[in-house]
Amino acid sequence: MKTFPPVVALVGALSFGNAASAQQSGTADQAKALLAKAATAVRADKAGALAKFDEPNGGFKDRDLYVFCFDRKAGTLLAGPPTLKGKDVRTLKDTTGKMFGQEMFTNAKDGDIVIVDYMFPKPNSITPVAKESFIEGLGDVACGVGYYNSTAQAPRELSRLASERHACAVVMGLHEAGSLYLACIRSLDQTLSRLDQARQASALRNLCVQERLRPGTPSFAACAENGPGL
Amino acid sequence: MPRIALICCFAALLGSCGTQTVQQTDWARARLACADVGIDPGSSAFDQCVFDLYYSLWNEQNTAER
Repeated sequence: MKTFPPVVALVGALSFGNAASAQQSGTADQAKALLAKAATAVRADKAGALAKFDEPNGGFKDRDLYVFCFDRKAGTLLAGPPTLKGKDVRTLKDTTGKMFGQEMFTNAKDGDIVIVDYMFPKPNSITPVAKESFIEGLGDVACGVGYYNSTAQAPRELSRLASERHACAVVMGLHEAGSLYLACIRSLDQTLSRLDQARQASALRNLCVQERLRPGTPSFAACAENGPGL
Repeated sequence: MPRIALICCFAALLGSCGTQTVQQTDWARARLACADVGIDPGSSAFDQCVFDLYYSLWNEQNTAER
C-alpha cells in the first residue's frame, strides 16, 4: 500500500505524456482533410496556393501536418520542407533505402488519392518516423499530406522500457512495483532521455554545419534550436 | 572489562565492514544496470548514470525508513 501513490503518479505521468504527444500529431483523417483543402486551393489558384502552403500562418500547417507539392513533369518539389524545395522528388529516399519520391511521382493520379509509406522526420526533428502520405494529382502538379504513425514508433519506446525493467528487476534485483524499483526506473529513464536529447541536439548541430551555417552566428543558433527546416 | 571493550570494538568494526560491503555491492549493481541499458562504461554519461541511480535509490531507501 505504501507504494501505491508513486505507482499512480508514474502511470498518470505516462498517460499524460501519451495524450500530450497524441495531440501534437495529426491523424490520418486530419491529413486527408488538409489535402482536400489544399486540392481545392490549387484548383482555384495554383500559384497563390503553392505560396500559401509554406507560410507559417497560411492556413495549411496543422501541428506536424503540412502540404507538399511537386511538378508532375520535372519532379521539382514546389512546396514542402525548405531543405528539399527545388529538389527532384524522384531522388528522395528514406533511411531504409525506399525511393518514396519515385513512388509518389509514378503513382500520382488526377482525381485519385494514392498512399505512400516511408520514414521521414517530423518538422523540427531529424529522427525519421514512420509516415503515411496521401497524394493526389492536380493537373500538372501533385500534392500530398502525410501523418506520422506514432504506433509504429512504439516498439522503440517499448524496448527502452523493457531494458529499464530488465536492469532494475534482473540486474539490480529489485522487487517489481516496489518504491525502489520505481525509483530505479525513473532514474534510468531520466538518464536515457537526457542522452537522447543530447544525441538529437548534436545531430542537429551537425546538420546546421552541413548547411554551411557558422557556429556562433544567430542563424546557426536558430538552426540548432529549431532544425534546418526539415 | 578490557575484554568487553575489545569485543565491542570488534563488533563495531565488523558492522562498519558490513555497511561498506553493502554500499559497494549497490554501487557495483548500479554500474551493471547502467551498462545493461546500453550506456558506454567508459563515458562520462555512464558515471553520471551510476551516480544518479545509486543516490536516487539511497534517497528512496532513506525516505522510506524515516
